[in-house]
Amino acid sequence: MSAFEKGVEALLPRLRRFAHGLAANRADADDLTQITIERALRARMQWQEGTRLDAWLYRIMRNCWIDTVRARGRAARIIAPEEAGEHVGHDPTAQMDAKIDLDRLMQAMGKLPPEQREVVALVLIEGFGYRETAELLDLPIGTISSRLVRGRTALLALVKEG
Amino acid sequence: MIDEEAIFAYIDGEFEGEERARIEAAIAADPALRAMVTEHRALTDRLQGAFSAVLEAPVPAVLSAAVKPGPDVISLAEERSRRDRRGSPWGGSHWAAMAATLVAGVIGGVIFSGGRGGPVTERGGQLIASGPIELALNTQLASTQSAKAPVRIGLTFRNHGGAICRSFAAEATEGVACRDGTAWQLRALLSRENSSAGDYRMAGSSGTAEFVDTLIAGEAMDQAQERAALSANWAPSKIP
Repeated sequence: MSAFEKGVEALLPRLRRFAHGLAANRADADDLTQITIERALRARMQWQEGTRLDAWLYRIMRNCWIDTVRARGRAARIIAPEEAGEHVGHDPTAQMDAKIDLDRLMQAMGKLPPEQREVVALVLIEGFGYRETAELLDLPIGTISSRLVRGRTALLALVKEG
Repeated sequence: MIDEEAIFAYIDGEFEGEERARIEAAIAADPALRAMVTEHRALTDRLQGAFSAVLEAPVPAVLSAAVKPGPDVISLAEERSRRDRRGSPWGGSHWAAMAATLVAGVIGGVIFSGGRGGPVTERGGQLIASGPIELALNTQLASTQSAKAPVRIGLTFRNHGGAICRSFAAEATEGVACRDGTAWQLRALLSRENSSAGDYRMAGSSGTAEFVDTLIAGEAMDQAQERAALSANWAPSKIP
């Protein structure tokens, strides 16, 4: 494996975590990770040595995810909405282990608008600073800050009611 | 009075020194703020705790395998470093990368052999579209172009710097060029070795599509936007 591939491999756990922060469920998260790896390998010439590989890969993953969101948005206009209640939460008496909590949080994250979800995932879960996040998403830092307020406030309300 | 965004930025560790102390003092003096901060800290901790399970879990084999190149993939990174050691005439990693593309047998020397009048020229260390590709990039609209045009335009879009970029496909090559001043700077150039005439209606295979994905900001232009961009002579947008 080349240094590039080794770098991507080393970042796989973090990429998977970011995918879980964006995608609706675990299966989608691993699909998203795979699509991201494939796209990154094909676009590898675009990565400039000496720049951050993690930020480059996060950006590709985010773009892959947005493509999916847009495609589903287009499909949703012609396909009838899913039955209400299909995604109702888990039995509250179920044992609270980390995995159940992860599913619960993913579900709550899934109810946020995409532009809030990506900022919540990058700052609160991935631990990027506001400036790094602004650079990654090509947005002004003030936009990051305001989306983060809306996103985390909505998320807290969702988690409380769940 | 401290605004909500500043409180959250404090929680996220965005402030240091005096600013941090000022917000800390304001929170300490306000029970409602204290409660809010506690609640949001707990939310962040819970998110990080739950999602760390993914970080610690073994990576599924299918994902590890996806990183390893297949037998038919030329390692461009290795090609690049070999070329860099030799002393690339291109300079800079970006052009070293482009050179690596050429070395990988993608288009070889063919495209340059025409010299003046060929589809690509080199100017100041950059590859610039010329001849029929430049003409198509300058004048052709995807919505009105002839099915038999020698160069076909695919997507027109803006990159993250606000410049207009267009994907194109000709008989033997395809790629993406971005407007730089009055020139079209080639950002990607791939061979179409397996294509025959008439087989490039989509103006871009998956290879070009990947480059578009890494360059595009927002969505591709629709017909009206493409027409307006032509009228504006492909001028870049002002970045807000």
